[in-house]
This record gives sequence, C-alpha cells and structure tokens, in this order.
Amino acid sequence: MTAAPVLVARSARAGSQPVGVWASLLRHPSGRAGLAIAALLALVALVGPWLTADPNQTSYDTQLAPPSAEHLLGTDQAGRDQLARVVAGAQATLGAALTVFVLVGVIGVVVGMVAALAGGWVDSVISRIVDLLLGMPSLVLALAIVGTLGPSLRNVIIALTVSGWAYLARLARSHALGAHDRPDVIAARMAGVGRVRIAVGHVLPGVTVQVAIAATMELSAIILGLSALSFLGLGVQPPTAEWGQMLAESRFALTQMPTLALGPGLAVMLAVGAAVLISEALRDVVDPAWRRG
Amino acid sequence: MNETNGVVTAPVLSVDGLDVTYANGARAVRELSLALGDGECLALVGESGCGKTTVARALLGLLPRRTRVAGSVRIRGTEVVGASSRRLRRLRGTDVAYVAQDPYAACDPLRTVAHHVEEGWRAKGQRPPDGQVTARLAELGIEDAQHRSRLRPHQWSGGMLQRATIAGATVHGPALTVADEATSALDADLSDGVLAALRAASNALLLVSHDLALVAKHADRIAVMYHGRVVETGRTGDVIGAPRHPYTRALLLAAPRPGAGLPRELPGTPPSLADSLPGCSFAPRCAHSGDQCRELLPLLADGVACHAVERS
Amino acid sequence: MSVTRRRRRRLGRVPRRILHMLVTLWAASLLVWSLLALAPGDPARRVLNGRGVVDPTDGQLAAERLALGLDRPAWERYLDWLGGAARGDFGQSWRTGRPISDELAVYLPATINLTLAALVIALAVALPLGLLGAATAGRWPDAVIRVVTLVMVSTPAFVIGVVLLYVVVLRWGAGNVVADGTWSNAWLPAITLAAWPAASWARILRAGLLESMSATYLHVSEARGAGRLRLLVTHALPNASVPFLAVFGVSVGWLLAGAPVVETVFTWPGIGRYTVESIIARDVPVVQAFTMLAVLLFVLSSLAVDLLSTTIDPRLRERGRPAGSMAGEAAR
Repeated sequence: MTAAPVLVARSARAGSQPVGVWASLLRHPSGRAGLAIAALLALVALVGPWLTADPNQTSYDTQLAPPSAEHLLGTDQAGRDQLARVVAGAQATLGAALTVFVLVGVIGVVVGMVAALAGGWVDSVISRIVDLLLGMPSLVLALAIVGTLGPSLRNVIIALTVSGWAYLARLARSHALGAHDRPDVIAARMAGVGRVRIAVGHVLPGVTVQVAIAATMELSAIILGLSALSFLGLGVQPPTAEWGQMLAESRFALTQMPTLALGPGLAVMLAVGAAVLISEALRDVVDPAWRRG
Repeated sequence: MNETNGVVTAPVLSVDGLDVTYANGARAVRELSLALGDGECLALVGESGCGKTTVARALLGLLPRRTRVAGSVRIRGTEVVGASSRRLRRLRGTDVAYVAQDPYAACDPLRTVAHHVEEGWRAKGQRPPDGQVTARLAELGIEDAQHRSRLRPHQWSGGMLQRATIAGATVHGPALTVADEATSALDADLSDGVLAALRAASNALLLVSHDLALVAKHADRIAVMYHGRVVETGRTGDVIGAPRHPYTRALLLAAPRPGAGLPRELPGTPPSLADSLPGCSFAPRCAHSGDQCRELLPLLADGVACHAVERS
Repeated sequence: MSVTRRRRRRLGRVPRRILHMLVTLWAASLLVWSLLALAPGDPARRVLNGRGVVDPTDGQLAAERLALGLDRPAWERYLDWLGGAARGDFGQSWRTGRPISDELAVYLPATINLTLAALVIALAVALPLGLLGAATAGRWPDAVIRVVTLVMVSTPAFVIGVVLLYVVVLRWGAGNVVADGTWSNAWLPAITLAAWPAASWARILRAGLLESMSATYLHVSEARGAGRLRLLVTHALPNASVPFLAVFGVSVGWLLAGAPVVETVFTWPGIGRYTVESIIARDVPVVQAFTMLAVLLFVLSSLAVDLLSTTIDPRLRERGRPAGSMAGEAAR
C-alpha cells in the first residue's frame, strides 16, 4: 500500500501538481484511518510470519480445533494454525494486489504517454484497444483470461493487469495531451528543449501523479477481484495460504467450526476497507467538488 | 412611511440593525440598517468578503441553517427575520426577487430557458399564462424568443441568458429585486445593457456589487460596506463626487477612470469576518486613523461612519 | 442551430450508437477467440483431457485435431466460430461433448432469476438510503448510512455469502444449503449479490444529490418560492440521475461477474457456477460463450444507459462522454 504515496511525494518534490497530496491525505480523517489500517496490514505481512507458527505445518491430531491459547484462531481441516495462515495470507493477497497495482500503473503511464506523444496511427490503435477493453466488464474479462490460461496466482495477476490498465492509459493519455498547452511546457519548447526531454522532465511527473492517484482508487477493486478469483479456486493453489481461498475452504467446515471463517473474512474486509477509505480521502483531496457533506 | 392617496404604505424595504453570524463564527453583517422606497435603486458596494452577499441572502431568508440572525428585515412591512418557511415561500418571487451572479450556474443545465422563465409561476403552483414567457423575454430585449426559449442554457450567450433569468425572477412584478453581482460574470460591454434591463424590469432594486464605477451609472443611492457595516451612504452623485469616508475614496482610486491616471490599489487586506476590532475596522488600513479610531467604533452619522470626518 | 437540424441529428444518434456497439462486440469476439489460440498446450490434447482421456494416443490426437479443424487457417476457423456465435452456437463443451447452447439454456434461467432479484433488491435498498443520506447530510442518519455502506462496499460477496449461509441457513434454519435455482430460493444469494451494488449506488446517489442540491440553480429556484419537493423532483433528482445512471450501467457488468462467486457459495445452478467448473476443467469454449454473453449484456446495458442519459442531459450529446466524475470509480 505504500507505492502510491511514494510516487505522489516524489513528484510533488519535483515541482509538479498536485503538491502535498500526501500531507493532505494524512490530515483527512478517513485518509488517516485508511493509512493506519494499511500500515497495520503491511506490518502484519512483513513481521507477522516470524511471530507465528508454520502456516503449512499439518497436524492430524488437531484438526478443526477451536480457538485456544496455542491456536488463537483455531486450526483448519488439516490441523494448520489458522492465525499463521491469515498472516501468511496477508503476504500473498497484498503482495499480489500490489504487483497488479504497480503493473497497471506502469503500463498505463507508458502506453498513455506513448499514445499522446506519438499521435497519428499509433494513438488511434492504442485508443481503439483501450475503448474495446473499457467496453467489456473487467472482471468478466479477467475470468475469461484465467479460464484460458488456467488457474494460478500468476495467471490471476496477468488477468487483472490485462483487464485493468486501459482506464489508466486513457487517463495518462489525456493528461499528457493536456500538458501540451501548459505554460512550463510551452516555455521549454520555445527554449528548444527536445521532445523526449520535455516528455520525461515536464509531462511524465504530472502524469505519474495522476495515474498513481487513479490506481490507488482502483486498489479496492483489485483486492476484491483477486480474492474473489482465489475464492473460486482460480488463484493461489493449495497449500499456499490466501484469504479468499481460505474462506472457500472454511465453508466446508462451517457446521463444525464457524470461527474458521472469521480470520480470512475480517482480513479481506480490513484490506478492502482501508483501500476504500484512502480512495475516498483522495477524492476529497484531489477534487474539492466532492468535499461537501 | 410614504403617504399616497391618504393611505400609509410601508417602504419597500427597511432593514434595521441586521446582524448575521454564521455557524462557523463569522459575523458577516453587523448592525446594518437600510431603507428602499418604490422605484428606487440602491447599490450596496464593497470588496469581496465584506458581507454584502450575506445581506442579499438575508433579505430572501436564504441563509444556511444554524445561522444566527438578529435585527429586522421588513419587505412591504412583512418581517423576514424569524419568519416561518411557509411565509418566506409566499414572500419569495412575489414580493422579493433574486438575480444571481452567473446566469449559467443559475440555470438548471437539463432544462430549457423557457422552463426557467415558467418556473416563476410554477414555483408558486401557478400555470404560466399563455404567451407570457415569450412576451417577458421580448420585453427584456430578446429577439426570436419563441424559438430560442426552447434551447438549453448552454446554447445561449451569457448576456442574453442573464436577461432571461431576470425575466424569470420578475414575472410577478415583485416590490423588491435583489441582484447579487448580476453582471460580474459577463463581458464588460454587456454589463450596462443588462443592468438597464434589470432596472426596467424591477420596482425597487438592490444592486449588490464590487464595482463602484459601474453601479454609479445605474443607482440612485449608494451604500458602501466594509467588514459587515455600512461606512458611507448617500445619493450616488454625492458619494462619487465628494466621497467622505477614507475607504470610499480608496475604492474610487482603485477603480480605473478616464483621465484619472493609473488606478491605485488599496494596500492591505480586510480583516476576517470572524474577528472583531474594538474600534473602526478600517483603521489598520487607513492613512488618517488616530488613537480614537482604534478604540472607539465610529457610528453612522449624516451618512458616514468615520472619526476623521467628525474631527474635521 | 435550427430545430429541424437538431431533430435530424437525434435520429442519427441511435443508429450510430448501435453501430458502435456492434464494433465493440466484434472486437470482443476477436479477443475472446484469440484467447483460445493463446492458451498454452495442444488444444487436441486438452479436449481429450477434458473428456477424461488422461493419456491420449497419437491416433486419438490426430483424429481430434481433424475434428477441431486445426489443419485449416486461423481466419477460417475464426469466421466459422463467429458465424456460429452470432447464431448462439458456441460449439461443443470439451468436457461433456454436448452443444454449449443446450447447456446454457439449462443454466441461464437460474442466473436470470438471481440477477433480476439482486437488481430489484439493490435498487430498493440504494434509492431510500441515498435519498435519506442526502436529506440528512452531516447528521446522524447520514453518518450511520455512510458507515454501513462503507462496510458493505468493503465486504466481498463471498464473505457476505458465507456469513448468511452460517447465520441464516445453519443457525436459523431458513433457506436451503443446496439451492435449486427457483424464485423461492433466490433471496439469500440475491441479497449477497445485491450488497455491493446497493451500497455503491447509495453512495453515488447521495454524492450526486448533495452536488446538485448545493448548485446555484437550486438557490435561484428556492428564491422564486419553490418548495422542497419541487426542488428535489424537478432539479436535484434529474441532475443527480446522470452520474447515477453511468454507474448503474457499469454495475450490470459487476452483477454478471459477481454471479460466479455467489452461485459458487450457494451452489446455485446458474451459468456462473457452470463457468467456474468449466474453468477448473479447462473447458475453454464454455468460458468463451460465457464471456461473449456477458459482453453482449454489458454492451446492451451501456447502450440503454447512454441513450437514456443523453436524453436527460443533452449536453452529453455534444461532449460525447457521460459527465459523472464518479463513473470511473465503479466502472472498474
């Protein structure tokens, strides 16, 4: 969850707008709440695995044990410690979500910038592809891609990336085109600065900020899509722990041990909730028209 | 009180000791008094943030909830301050009309211009009389009104659209029209025409503006506002020709006039409406201020509220 | 601009939008078909694997290749497939060997029941919540609604499904664990499917209403003596409906994509669960059929929403794209 703010802060220092998104996010109540939860989840994902038991250690003596001092969230059907698996799942879910986040962001910026700079038929082709992808329901497209490539975490990441970059590329393209008439860009052009240098030095920072903000707003959808596909058994394959997939497994033990669903269910809700809170705060900070009420 | 045919009628507008404090603590209007008779045009002039828009909204009872209002605003003798929302609704449109600054913002983008003129009747639950919409628009100088009124606001020019909003506001021939910066969103060359149309369509008119030079051509009287108070008021010719309050003089110097050299900008910024100064609010920016000015609030006497004027 | 010219342009708009829709469908078909070509491995082997032939002989493979027409050029196979797809014929399931259209006909009614019920529930929840939230903005009912809808948009459908399954079915004994796809059983999965769109629509409706309620034209209308009801009905609601519609159209795509998850949780006999089973069995033609069907429905709903919003807001006709700034958020 830290990638977007880093991008924002770096570009803000480079003198491009909007300055201080990062700081205003910290001042916004829901932004602060979202960032706090995100930081907590990041901490769990990074430090947690050292503090908990082996998430893949099966034990047939302690199948479906209720929560106890030894197993705070109980154990699953294979006797694995559920808390350790929730913690390990944080790494799988959040890691994959961040990978998709970075991939769609980078592809969006690059493709959008190329379309805007190249113009002509390159722009037309890219714009048609973007239109096509945006004309299809993105989760259905992701499902189709996983369906053809076969279930695996790697393929889920590919599917969500392919179905997710188009919107950001359109955004990057329109921002790059808009920058053409900006005073500093005109000044640089008149001073004889080359096209590529203007693009990298003047246009890219602003476009990156915009795309990073938009991609952060998509983060909740990425996490939701990822865990939904895993829940369907199309993502992370056993025995690796992932929240959506753990919840799917806990379903079959719902009569005997309903608490098993608690950990992964709450974890997904926290992660998505944090992303939603941050995106709400971002919308307020970036677009004052939505600040009312 | 005017006396016509032996019947005593109330003045169109009488504001007495109006005091408005917003929920956030900003005291935008302070002990303000005004009066306006039939057919008269009063310009309420001041910098942005002096409280003049708040006055306009207070006259219509359109202030946000949890705003504290004290004093009295009477329109044709009917008290607005503290009036029930039903009573306010009856007053609006029939006794007091409102013209907003930006005609494009004042029109619902989804509705035709004709709809906006008709709204003058429909808002009161009446059916617009046949042909009246076109007739009202034509009166305000809009050609081909029949056809053009069926277009949407974004297809109109600003000056024409402002005339149409004036037509919609004044369908009931209200006693008082309140125009809040009615021309500042328009190109300068259109302002005079729109203001003349506004004057012609109104009975008593309160022009709220920051542009002293512009309103001087249209208003009978001028009231200059600073930090929520009226600091100078008088006939237009007197205020423009012989301004007495240092702030009025500064405002006139700040406006570009032919043959008067470069406009001189007023130094400093007005105090925040949330603050209260013990003495004259203008004292910190005033070249003539003395100790008295910083300690004692000058009262409006003989049309001006200034210790320096009293001393001389 | 003359009135007659405007009328002619409005007539031209609908065919243009339909043409645009057909182009999108065609491009989507190209994408969906080429997925098959891009899929790793020998298709003939995968077809046989799908039918349960774990280790096919060379003879079996060669026969299957011939049956699939893999010896013919790609464009010929594509045109064949497209021609079939246009008539609703997506070929045979690799897994069962039965025509996919027959299988879809079996599973489709259950999914239609489910999504229609979810649509009704979502609207019935979203409209009052959005209106109440906007009417009480900044006070406690609004605060409660904001928190509740925030939790709802943050909760994946499968979490809601599992919770409902446990609480309602296992603890209270209402409903059935194994649903049969009929209306009487639809309410639990429909609630699950409706939760996310209901909450996101309510939030967008509230934001749109607040936006239009603070607009100058509303004050102007109020200054002319209009009452609260008139302000809401003639101005605030129509203006708020434009961004709402944009999101509503996109949400149809979400309902379609949500069906597989919800149908899996409740073992609902619809095309969503059928598709998931096909994905796991690598039955690609079924996945293609589901995708094309979903794209078709999505494109149709986008068309309907587009025509409706340009009728409400004629400015969109000139700008071409829906205005709602929040449209992008729920679009993904």
